[in-house]
Amino acid sequence: MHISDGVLPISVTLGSYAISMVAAAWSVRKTRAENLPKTAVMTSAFFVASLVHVPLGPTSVHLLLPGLIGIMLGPSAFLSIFLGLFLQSILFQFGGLTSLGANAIMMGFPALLAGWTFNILKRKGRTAHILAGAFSGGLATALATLALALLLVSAGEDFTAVGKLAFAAHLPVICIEAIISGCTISFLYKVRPAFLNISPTVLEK
Amino acid sequence: MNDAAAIHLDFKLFILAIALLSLFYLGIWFLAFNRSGSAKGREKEKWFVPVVGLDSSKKSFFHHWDVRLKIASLFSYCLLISMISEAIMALFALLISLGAVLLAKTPFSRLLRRMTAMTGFLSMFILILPFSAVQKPGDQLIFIDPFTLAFNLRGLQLALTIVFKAAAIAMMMEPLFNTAPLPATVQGMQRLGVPAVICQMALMAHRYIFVFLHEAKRMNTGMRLRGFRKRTDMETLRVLGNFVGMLLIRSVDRTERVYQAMLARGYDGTFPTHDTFQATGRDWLLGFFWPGIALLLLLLDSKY
Repeated sequence: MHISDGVLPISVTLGSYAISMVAAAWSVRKTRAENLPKTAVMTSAFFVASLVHVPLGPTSVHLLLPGLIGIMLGPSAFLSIFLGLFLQSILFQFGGLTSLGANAIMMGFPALLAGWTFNILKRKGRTAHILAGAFSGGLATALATLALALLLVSAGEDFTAVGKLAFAAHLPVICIEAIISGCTISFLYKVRPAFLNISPTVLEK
Repeated sequence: MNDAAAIHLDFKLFILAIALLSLFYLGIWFLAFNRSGSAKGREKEKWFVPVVGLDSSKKSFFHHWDVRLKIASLFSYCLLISMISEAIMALFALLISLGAVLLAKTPFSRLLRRMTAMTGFLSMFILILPFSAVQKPGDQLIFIDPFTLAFNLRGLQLALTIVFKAAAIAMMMEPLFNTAPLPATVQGMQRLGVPAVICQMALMAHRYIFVFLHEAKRMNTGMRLRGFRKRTDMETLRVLGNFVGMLLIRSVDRTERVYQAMLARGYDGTFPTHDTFQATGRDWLLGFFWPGIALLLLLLDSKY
């Protein structure tokens, strides 16, 4: 789910860097100063959560959680994802330093949207929360996958099939992300409902 | 397929090529996992985060290089390398990066880990592009006889270019991030114009990754002790969803305590640093060397 170095043309690399820097700056402005350190700590939690591997037949996939990040952090989600991807690229070589901008756009904007849809869709009751969470989690992953495919296609007409394949390969991941998001929301609803009632971010108690 | 040069290939030869390719992948897979060995070892491997910015005792000129110039120089090298379009030039870039890693004397195991992390994504290109590349006049096509599939050599070349470029850039991450402590590197990034807030948060997030990793490992051990085994079913997803939820609750609780502790120690929105930067003539020379060599490759690339 990460685009590595050396794939995207330089125009896309630089353009997406510019866009994601603007979005990250917006995200910083939307986060209250005292919540910046807390957002950093939450970023590490999501980083570790994304190490969870879910078995899928003979192989396994790791979690991405753009939906949950958006739901929990609201407008700070873009910043969190930008940082998380930076650390993933320097620690694991997932993604890459030159493709960081593109990857941040791919994951960050769907996360922001997921936070927004969750707030709109959620109604009273546990089931309604679970459904809203599952929908937002699935939607964010689907959009991220779509962005991945579009970015691959931007590399040239030869890449159309690669983009389509990448999209198809991620269809089961979308389902898994939706279910996991729903289950996590269900757990949070039972154990710490305060996390889900707050509007902009979890950190402003 | 108009003017494209076509070669017809026997089916047996195709099978042989596939066999060789799979052998190659098996080799990489073996290299990546033989250290952990058993299935139990692989389970552990998934809860492993490599440490970045650990200074090795072996010093090189990368270690003494002014951090600001090192970041600016190597990052522009990476950007320039990503513009290469010929496989042979990308291969040269790969060799130059490998040379840089050898000069930087960073551990070889980390390099191997970086390379294996990319194999999944990159093998997609190797396997798909030769068959999916749009056939243009002048392309060399290989037909595998019983099928109507055409193997486009230009597609293969395109895929190899991507793989070489990706490897060349990834290799440069070793001298870039593993020859100075991470706080020094991030401080250098800040001096180069990356907003201070983002730098500060990157350092904090990096520190707490290892705290939550420890927590996640303990929770994982507890779950295994209570008999939980991962399978492909709803129950596994439900349990993993709870696992993520628990991790989030614990981390939110911790953020509050961390923040209070920071305030108690006089946190005012900035991290104090004692790093001073001094660039000598040698630093500048090195700073121009890497983008220069990348530019040279690009020039040759466009002439090719």
